Amino acid sequence: MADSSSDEEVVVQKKRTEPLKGDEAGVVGDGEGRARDKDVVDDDAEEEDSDEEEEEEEEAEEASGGKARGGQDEDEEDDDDESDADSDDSEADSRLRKGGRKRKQRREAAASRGRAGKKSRRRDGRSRFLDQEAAVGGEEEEEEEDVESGDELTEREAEKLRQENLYKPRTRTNFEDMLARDSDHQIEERFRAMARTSAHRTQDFYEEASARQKGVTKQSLLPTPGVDTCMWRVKVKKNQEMPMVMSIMDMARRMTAKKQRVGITAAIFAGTKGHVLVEARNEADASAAIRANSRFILSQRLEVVEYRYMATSLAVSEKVAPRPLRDGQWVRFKRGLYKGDLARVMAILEGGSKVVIEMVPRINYEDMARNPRAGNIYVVSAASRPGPKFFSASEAREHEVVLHRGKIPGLNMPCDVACNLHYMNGYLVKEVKPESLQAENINASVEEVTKFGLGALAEDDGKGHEERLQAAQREAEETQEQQRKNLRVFEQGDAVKVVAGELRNLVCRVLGSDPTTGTVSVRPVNPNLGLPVKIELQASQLANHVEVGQHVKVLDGLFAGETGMVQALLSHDEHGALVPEPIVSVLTDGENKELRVRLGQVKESADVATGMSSLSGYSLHDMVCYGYQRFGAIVWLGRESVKVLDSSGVVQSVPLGELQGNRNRRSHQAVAYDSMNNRMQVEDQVLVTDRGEHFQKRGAIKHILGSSLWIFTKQETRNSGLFVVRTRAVTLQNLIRKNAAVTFNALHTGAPNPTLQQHHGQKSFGGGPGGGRGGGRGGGRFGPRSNMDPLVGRVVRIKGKSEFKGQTGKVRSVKDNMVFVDIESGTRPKTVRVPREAVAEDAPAVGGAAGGRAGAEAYSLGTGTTPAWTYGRTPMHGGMTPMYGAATPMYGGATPALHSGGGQTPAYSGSQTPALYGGGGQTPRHEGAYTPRHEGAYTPRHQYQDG
Amino acid sequence: MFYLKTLEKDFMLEPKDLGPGLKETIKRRLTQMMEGTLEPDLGFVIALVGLDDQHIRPGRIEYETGQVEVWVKFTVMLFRPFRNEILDAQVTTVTDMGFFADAGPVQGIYVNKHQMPQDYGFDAQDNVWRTSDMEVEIRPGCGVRMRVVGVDITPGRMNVVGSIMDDYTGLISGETD
Repeated sequence: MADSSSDEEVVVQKKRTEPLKGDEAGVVGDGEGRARDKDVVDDDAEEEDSDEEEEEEEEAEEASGGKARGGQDEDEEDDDDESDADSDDSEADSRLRKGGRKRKQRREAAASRGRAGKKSRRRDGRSRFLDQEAAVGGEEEEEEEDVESGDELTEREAEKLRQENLYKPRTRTNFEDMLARDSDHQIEERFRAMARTSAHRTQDFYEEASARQKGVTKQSLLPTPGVDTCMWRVKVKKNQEMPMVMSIMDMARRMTAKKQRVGITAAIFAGTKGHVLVEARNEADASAAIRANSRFILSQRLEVVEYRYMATSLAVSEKVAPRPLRDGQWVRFKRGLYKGDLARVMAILEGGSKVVIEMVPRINYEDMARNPRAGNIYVVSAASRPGPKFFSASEAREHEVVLHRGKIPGLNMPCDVACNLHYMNGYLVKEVKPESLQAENINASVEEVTKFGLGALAEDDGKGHEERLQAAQREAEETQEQQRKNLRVFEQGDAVKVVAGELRNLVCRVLGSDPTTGTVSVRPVNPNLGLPVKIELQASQLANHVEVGQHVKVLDGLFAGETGMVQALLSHDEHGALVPEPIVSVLTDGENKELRVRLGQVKESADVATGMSSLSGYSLHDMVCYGYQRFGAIVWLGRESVKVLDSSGVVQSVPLGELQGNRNRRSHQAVAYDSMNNRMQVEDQVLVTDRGEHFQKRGAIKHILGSSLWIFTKQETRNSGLFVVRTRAVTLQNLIRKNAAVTFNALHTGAPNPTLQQHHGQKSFGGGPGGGRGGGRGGGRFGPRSNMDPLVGRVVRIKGKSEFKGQTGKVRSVKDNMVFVDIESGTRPKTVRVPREAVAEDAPAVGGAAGGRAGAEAYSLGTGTTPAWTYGRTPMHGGMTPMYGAATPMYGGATPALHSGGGQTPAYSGSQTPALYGGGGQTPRHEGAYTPRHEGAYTPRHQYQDG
Repeated sequence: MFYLKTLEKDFMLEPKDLGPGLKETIKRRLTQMMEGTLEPDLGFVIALVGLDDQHIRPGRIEYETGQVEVWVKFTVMLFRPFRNEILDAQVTTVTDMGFFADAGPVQGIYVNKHQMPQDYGFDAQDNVWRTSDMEVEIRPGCGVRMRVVGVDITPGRMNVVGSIMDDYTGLISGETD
């Protein structure tokens, strides 16, 4: 039983008195190594002899493999330096120098280690199979990683790791490959030798491996509970998997050297990041080994790997060799200044180890002029990254950049050279290593490709560029085609169209797909075609399908996450070239801009995007305060700044730091009065009635501040649909529906529909006044309801953080502060309970029309908290007269004398001033402050003043 | 397209509505409730055209509120544009991407520039879409005949996309206020 105490040393309580049996010791514990394979011995000897050489070899490898940079992602390390391809020479030099220093240190260390060090290494040699076995699941990078992360460790650890790395050339060989080479007798010999020492476990492993090679998995070879060792999974720190394994093995070697018992039989990093597998007879052994190396682990907890999962947890992930680059292929830079930029392969040199690419440069002529070596040392922070712009020799000369003509290395093509960088036709031409390029999943959007090609046309005389452009586009299309074939995953319910085969152009819905065979089962949308209900097709035969008018969501690319309505499906791009995959024009929900995306990038969806429009707590259309008491609504959100539409209608760019929080609440609580003195609040529908820039625009109030209104309309394309007007320039429009219906009929038939006329025309004289603010708080649809909440029966939209946010429904009842809303949307109607604050009236819905008709009751019962003169608008100008007339009774209600006078009903007062009625009208004059005659003429405001 | 449809509905009648002429009240209430609304999938309710007395079932009084739940079956006239329908509409807004038009309750029917014949061009100065021969101008207020190419009904809103690419579609009348 091995226990451990400190971080680095393993203290073994019980010394081993007899040699371990093979199976007990497992692979790690093969410390005695009595029966040692001759091959190994030879190797060992060789290693001892050529100690220095090997170290040098390793150094060289390190130098070529990549500079050691701590704390970077392992995948990146390999290619890291290559991205700065232009600075290859100088960097390589410095690296060599560095390597030299390291080697020197190492020699010193080796000298101090003396004989003992070599001895221990000798044992390492014996158990090199361990390395191999442990490395089966890992990949090359992972093995290299220990070198990298070694930097972070103590010098001593680093030293240890370097020792381990002596065997790296061997472990680099893929274990599976080794097995695959039948003819490799040496390996077979090795395994036979192993079998002698390590007994059946290794034997099993060998057999299993060869079985796998034949494509047969023998059940009998799988671990048996109770007989075989157990396996535990332990969580380790990021990128510390291999150091952990190495450290455990080192520990094992140390212990076997001291003839101590090693409890664990293997430590494996099988490729799952953050996990290391430890194999042992019992948990105590495993946990001892873990604790001895606790500096690598995240948690002491050991998780048992069940026997049935053992095989899978050790499965080797198949690494697909990257497809070689081709001429003209689109690529993207993985990192550096040009990270994410689209580039095109111009030529492939030295059998693929170098490629010449062209891309749109990110240059700053001033920097180039100031520093002639700018090209080489051009390292910029993300903030000062220049935008992509085509190189122009004339512009460069204007900035006094030193320019000369040269030739592109390797291609012998004439070009401009500035700051040691080569420019041709406006593109930057560069020789880079393929590792620094991303060649798969390019997802070049139509815009990008077009921009790439257009620049060339603009810059050059145009000769041959038409062809180039076409070729580039073809290439992009091919890439897209390829992607469509490879990547398109169809989900159940997707609308698809058959693009190949007998059923071409058939529109179907996906029932399910089988990714292993690539078949998709679909159901034709049209059931009347006599086709079977379920058809099996290849995924490559299908393409996405959307229809004009559908609401879609963009799935990937530049506009991923945006939603909107399909405006058109275009089969030609802007240059009139036929595209293989239709381009979809989408009008976005939020800010009325038009996107052009590939058909494959969109999917039918009812979602409305909100995610794209927020930035550190600010979202689109927020009312914000900035500068010294300045207010405006956000109309655009950038990365570090926002654009704000201020109260004078001017758009300003405001850096994020200058924003002083939003004032939405203030705006939402504000009340304003329109040209007709109607009370308006946020979300009310208004129409701009003042002749001016925004005349006749219709929209919903988004914000109110002082005498300015920010109004949102779907039909405004600038400023995210917002515009600013004075409060008095608008008229409340909550009777929009009724209004519309009348105009509509007039447009179609010339005469209003009799039904409508009955309802809207005639009745509206009486009804006008009652309409309320589209069923706002005033008008009362059905008169007063002493106990009934005014909200009941209204159509509301649920806002706030509720899961029902955005849904509309009718209020069923109100209890205390909770509102019960019948939600109409969704598949089934349901009633939900939301707090009162979380509902907002959905202005253009029922309220307006209904309220209008109920008007007569409303005012006669005196509920109109909203002044009755609000509503005359409805039948446009015709309605004006009755409005004032209609107002009369209300006041009458207040002054009993009017009622007693009895001369006025709304119907009469419509066209005649009360004064004409003589007695009836005159009476009040004698009694009170009101003169009915004036009522007909005066605006309500005056009334107030008078009274 | 206008069409008639028979619907069924449960709705609540308030105690104050109970009294003589109950069926009339129900009709009135129903009219108030339905007309002008956008029914999911069906379109805008233009008018209630038929409600027979025998299609009003006896109500049930709700325990808590005293409201009466009434089931009715009635016929309404609906309006909804259908795909490929030819529709007349009035232009409300013109933008560089196309124009918006209203057809009665259906507001903001969008005709994208891709849905206009090739010879239309946008004149940013006058804010109109104009044909290359300068003969046809689409500006706010004019009547346009279009083919409906897409209809999408979301709760509370109907999105319609139109096209004037076809023969005999396009401008039909000048500005009318």
